[in-house]
Amino acid sequence: MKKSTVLRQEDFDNLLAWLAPEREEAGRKYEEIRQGLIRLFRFRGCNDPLSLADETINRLATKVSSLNKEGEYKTITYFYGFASKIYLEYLNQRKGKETQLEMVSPLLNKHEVNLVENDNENHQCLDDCLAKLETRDKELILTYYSQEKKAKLDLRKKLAQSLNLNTGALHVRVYRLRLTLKKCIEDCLNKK
Amino acid sequence: MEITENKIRQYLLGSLSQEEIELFDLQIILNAALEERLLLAEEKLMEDYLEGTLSTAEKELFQKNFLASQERYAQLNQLSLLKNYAQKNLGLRGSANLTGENAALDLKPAERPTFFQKLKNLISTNLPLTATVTVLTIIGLILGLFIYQKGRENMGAGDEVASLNQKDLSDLSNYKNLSSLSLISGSFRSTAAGSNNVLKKDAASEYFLLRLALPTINNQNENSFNVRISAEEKLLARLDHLRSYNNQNGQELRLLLPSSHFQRGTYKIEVVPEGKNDVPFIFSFKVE
Repeated sequence: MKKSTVLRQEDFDNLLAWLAPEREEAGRKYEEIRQGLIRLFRFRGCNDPLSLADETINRLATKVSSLNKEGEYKTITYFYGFASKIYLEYLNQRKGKETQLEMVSPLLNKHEVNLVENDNENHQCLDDCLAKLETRDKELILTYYSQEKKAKLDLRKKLAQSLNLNTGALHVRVYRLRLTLKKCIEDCLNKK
Repeated sequence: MEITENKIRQYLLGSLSQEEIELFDLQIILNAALEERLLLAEEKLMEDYLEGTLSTAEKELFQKNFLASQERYAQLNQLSLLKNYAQKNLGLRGSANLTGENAALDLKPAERPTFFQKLKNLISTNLPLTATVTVLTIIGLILGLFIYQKGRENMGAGDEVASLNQKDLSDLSNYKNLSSLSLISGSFRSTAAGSNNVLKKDAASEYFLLRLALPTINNQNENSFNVRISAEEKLLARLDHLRSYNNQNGQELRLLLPSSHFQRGTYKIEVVPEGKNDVPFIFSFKVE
């Protein structure tokens, strides 16, 4: 990837003015687009989606004076165009690193996935973090993940019914609990 | 393009056409509400991977395209950890019996066939195989028992003593059925019930408890000790980093010893506070 683009104040002001005549509205649009770009890079499986989103904005900002907002192209299309280019650069850079790794270790199978063994530290942190949840939440999350395949689907359906939720809402509830656990485990591992 | 769960899955695996990918990308940028659906789809994909239900093609795409970021890799690891933990700790089979929203989850194992029903089914399906397996199992058990007994005999007293004394001996009620000796350094102790430094071999339990009263040195209590047990100048067992326990008179050491390794005779126990070169406290007991 090219060297990061530094955003000057002048370019930033031009960008906001380009987004909307009112600065407050421009700021709101800026933030919406930024969050959208972060989502894009994150779901494309990129490491550090924040930096890639900022780089997209910075590059566009330096070119904003030459962009035509009238006509057939919407604002978002320009952002997407720059984001796509940055994504390709990111892929090339990643490919280059993988090639270097392969040269060092020709036996490295990049398709091989080696999950970390459930070592004591991870296990201990999970234990500690589960203990911090409310009892009902802990039971919910453990029950939710206690089965596999068809039994899992049946259990989750019953679980949702018992909580007067649809399965989608149950997924969301459990997912949010997982996020809490995830943060707790990361903090715990960092301390160790 | 309609954003269905299947399309989301294909997008995450990188198997959509370029045109579809672009349409998807724009939707992701513009529509914050899509994020939750994508996050849930990611989780479902990871679960399917862990459960081995992805097709070969999907698995390859998963490893090549989906697991491209460190964050996803970390998520997969955490999910794997959580699933293993849940399955080990709950280990439910079949349906759950659940109550209303505000009630605590009340989960019971599903009704299972009884042991005898299972046995009956097993035997009736394949009689020769069942018979062979049964005979082999019995032989294996007998052999295993024989090897275990031999192993115990061959195991040196030192190893067994060390192994026994890794336990926490705080709760004496766990050992109330064992033979027990209480010793004071440098002398024999007599109680109202008689001498307490003699172990009657014939009446001894499989293991016996030795309680060694520790004197306070310079008004300080040490917490960790090294112990040597010997008979006729021959070292039988050596225990390091033994912790002391409080009793009503101060502190004591507690040793759990296997009776089988202590034949008739006199035994000496030397105790030194860890990390010090002091003159050891000497205890002794007899086996008769």
